[in-house]
Amino acid sequence: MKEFFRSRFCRGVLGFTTATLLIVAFVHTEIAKKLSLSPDVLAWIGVACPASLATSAQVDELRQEVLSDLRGKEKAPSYPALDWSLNRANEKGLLRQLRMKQFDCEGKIKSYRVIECKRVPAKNENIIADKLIFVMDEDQKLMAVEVFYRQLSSQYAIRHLQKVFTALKKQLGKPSYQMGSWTPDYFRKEMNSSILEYKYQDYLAKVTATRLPKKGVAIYEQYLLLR
Amino acid sequence: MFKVGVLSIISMIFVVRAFSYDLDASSGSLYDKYGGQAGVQKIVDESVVALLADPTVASYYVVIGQSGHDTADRLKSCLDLQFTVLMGGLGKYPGVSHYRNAPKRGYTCENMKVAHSDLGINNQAFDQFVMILGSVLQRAGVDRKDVDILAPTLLGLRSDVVTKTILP
Repeated sequence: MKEFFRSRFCRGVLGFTTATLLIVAFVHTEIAKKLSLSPDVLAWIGVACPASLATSAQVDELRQEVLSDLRGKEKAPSYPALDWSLNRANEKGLLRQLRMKQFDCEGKIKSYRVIECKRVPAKNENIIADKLIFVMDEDQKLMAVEVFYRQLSSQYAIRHLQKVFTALKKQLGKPSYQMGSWTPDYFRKEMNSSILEYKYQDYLAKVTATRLPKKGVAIYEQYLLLR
Repeated sequence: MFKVGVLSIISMIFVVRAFSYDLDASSGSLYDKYGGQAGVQKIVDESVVALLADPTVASYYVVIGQSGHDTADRLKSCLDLQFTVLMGGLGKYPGVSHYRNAPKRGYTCENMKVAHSDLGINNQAFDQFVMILGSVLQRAGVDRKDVDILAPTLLGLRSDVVTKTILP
C-alpha cells in the first residue's frame, strides 16, 4: 500500500488534482476578476462558466416565473416571426433555407440550440441586421426569432418599422400595446423609444426602436413562443 | 458570450459612471417623484422580466444562486441601490444594500468595472440593454426630461462595462 502512494502515478494524480482545485478556486476570487480573467480564458483552461452549461429545461423553468407578466388573455391565431412561423419551422429546414439565402450563420448550443447569423440584409430593404438569432426547442422546432439592427437613419428605421407593422397587422390585427411614434422628429431626440407589442397567451411579438446617442436608430425585434 | 454579457449589463445599467458617489434624498428628487423605493423596485423588476423573456439571455440567470454567482436577491438588491442613488435617493454606490431580503449586514455591491471585468460584454450587447432599459423607463411613465437626466449616466458606463469591441 505504502509503495502505491509513493508511486509516480499516484503522486501525478494527486498533483494534478491539487493544481486543478487551486486553479478553480483562484478563478473565483476577486483577484482573478481584477486581472480580467475572461470566460474565454476560463473555457481555454477547461473551466467553463456554468451559464453555458445550463440545460434548456432549466432555462424554461426560470422563464416560467416571469412569463405570466408577458402573456395576453387569448391564444394567438398564428405565430409569425419574419419569414417564418414559430412552432412549425424546424432546424433542418431552417438551415437549408439560410444556406440558400447565403447568410453567414452558425449553429450553437447555448442552453437551447440556436442558429446565429451575422450581417443579414433585410428583405427588399437597404439595411443590414447586426444579428439574427433562431432558437429551437427540445423537439428542434422554432421557438423564438430575434433580430437586431443598429446605426439606422430615421428614414430607414421608420420604413422598416412600418413594414414590420404591416406584416404583423396582416396576420394578427390590432397591436396590444404601442408607445412612442414613428416620425423623423421623434427619432431625432436621443433615447426616444417606441414599442409595438402583440401579446397573446402563447405568443409575444415585441418591436423596440430607440434613437441611441451618436449611433442612429436601433431596432430590436423579438418573436417568442410563450409556453 | 452575449448571454453572459447580458446580465452584467443589467447589473450595471443604472449605476453612475463615477465609482463612488453619495447623494442625499431631497424633496424634488427623481426618487421621490417616482414613488420612492416602490417605484425603484418596479423599474428593476420590469427590467428583469424584459431580459428574462429573451431565451438567449435567460440562460445566464439559471446560474444565479450557484457557487461563484450572484443570488437573485443580491442582484436585485444591488440594482435597487444603484437605481436609488441614481435617482437621488439616499445611499452610496458602490456600497452595502439592505433592500429585498438582504441579510442583516446587507449585500456588498462592488463597483461596475470590477463586477463586469470577466463577462466579455461587447458594444452590441450594451446597446441592446440601453434600449431595453430606456424603454422600461419610458413605459414606467418616467418623463422625457427625466430620461434625459438619467441617460448620460447610463451611457457613460460603456467604457467601464464593455470589454469586447468586436462590433462598433
